[in-house]
Amino acid sequence: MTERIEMDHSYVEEHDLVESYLAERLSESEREAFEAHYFACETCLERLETANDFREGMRQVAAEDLAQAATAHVQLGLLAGLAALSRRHRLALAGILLLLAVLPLWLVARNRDLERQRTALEAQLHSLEQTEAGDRRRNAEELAQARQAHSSEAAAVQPQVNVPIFLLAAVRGGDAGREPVSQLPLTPTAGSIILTAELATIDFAAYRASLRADGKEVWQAGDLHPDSRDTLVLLLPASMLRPGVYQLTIEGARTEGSWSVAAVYPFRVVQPN
Amino acid sequence: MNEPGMPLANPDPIVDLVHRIVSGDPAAEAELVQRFSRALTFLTRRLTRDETAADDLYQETFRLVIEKVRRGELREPERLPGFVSSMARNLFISSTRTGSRRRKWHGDSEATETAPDPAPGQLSRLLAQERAATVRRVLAELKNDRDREILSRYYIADDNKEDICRDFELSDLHFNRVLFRARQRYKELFERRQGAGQEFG
Repeated sequence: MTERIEMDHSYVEEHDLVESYLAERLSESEREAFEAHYFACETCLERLETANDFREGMRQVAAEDLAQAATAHVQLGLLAGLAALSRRHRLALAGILLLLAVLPLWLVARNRDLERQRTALEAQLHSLEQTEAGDRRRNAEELAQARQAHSSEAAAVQPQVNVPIFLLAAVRGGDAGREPVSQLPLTPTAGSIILTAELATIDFAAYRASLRADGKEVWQAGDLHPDSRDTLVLLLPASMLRPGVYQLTIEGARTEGSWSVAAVYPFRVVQPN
Repeated sequence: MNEPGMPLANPDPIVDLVHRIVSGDPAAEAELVQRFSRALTFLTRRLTRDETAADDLYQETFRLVIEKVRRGELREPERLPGFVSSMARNLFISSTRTGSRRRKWHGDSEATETAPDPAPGQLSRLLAQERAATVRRVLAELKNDRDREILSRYYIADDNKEDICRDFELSDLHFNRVLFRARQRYKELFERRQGAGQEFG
């Protein structure tokens, strides 16, 4: 049985019951009496609430500060732990940290190398593409030429109409160097041309012909035999004869194997107006 | 003025309230709840340190108090406030003795050491943050470190008032004044913050 205490404001203030109650420092009888009092006294209840809130706030602040201090302690602990490591371990740790610091730099440098290699490969690829394009162009040109030649050959075996025929006039040795008498007008569309060279004498068993332009031989043929009218008839592609001065030389084969000039036919190929 | 034939109203409002409940006045029961609600809320939360358990204890206390007052078991009506507070404490204590069914009411030091601390609600956390912020401001406004240390030793370290007064060579009156000023300033600031929060809320 607890002693009954009659309590009023003066008693509460005199004995500082609000704080003592919150700190649980009251006896059982004091506590019961104070609880009965503040259940009936709004003023004391309000003081109690304020004091309790302030106490809780103080403890909350202390808890927050403690948490912050604990965090700082952990950081200090890491530093202290580092300091407590042996020299060998510190060196190893420093090496690891250095590696971690250098690793990004190495990755950057490596990246740059790879970039350079990529650029070089792209340039090489571009060059190869250009070369390939040049090859393709050349191949196309050669193909075009081949087609043209083929078409020329095809044209040669095809029947042709109005093939130009020229009778070449032979000159004597003293006329060499003069403007040729024979003028051959050749249109660019002409496919072939027929040259007839009448021989003055038939003294040789076989003949050969040589066509030269500006001192260079552009065509030659051997084992030629004149026809019944002692004439050599030559069918040449018109493309062989560009405008200029030409000289067709006919030589006859001697019995001892040497060759003797039988006739010379200079002529000029001109482009008709 | 009383109606003819009705008993005279007691000049003590508490005694009058008990008489009205005994006579079956439902409004009196509501008035009882209203009169003691705030104090009982404070006590049940202090006992249980858990909002849900405090609510349960609050309901159970009022239920039993009203039942007993109705049956006329409160022989000294002027002691109704103590009857309510004792009822709450006894229910809480009996719950600690009856075991697990009411174990959630355990909020005293013995129980809180073993029972898991329930997570505070969002509102409670917000209030705790408000309280801490206000206390920090009060502490910052203090004029000297000695007062801050007094408050810390008293509220956090739970040092005795006598020990603190002796260490700082303070009179009892001076010590009370430090605590009083700090609490008053806290109250002013907290109410101002609450007011500002309500204005913007």
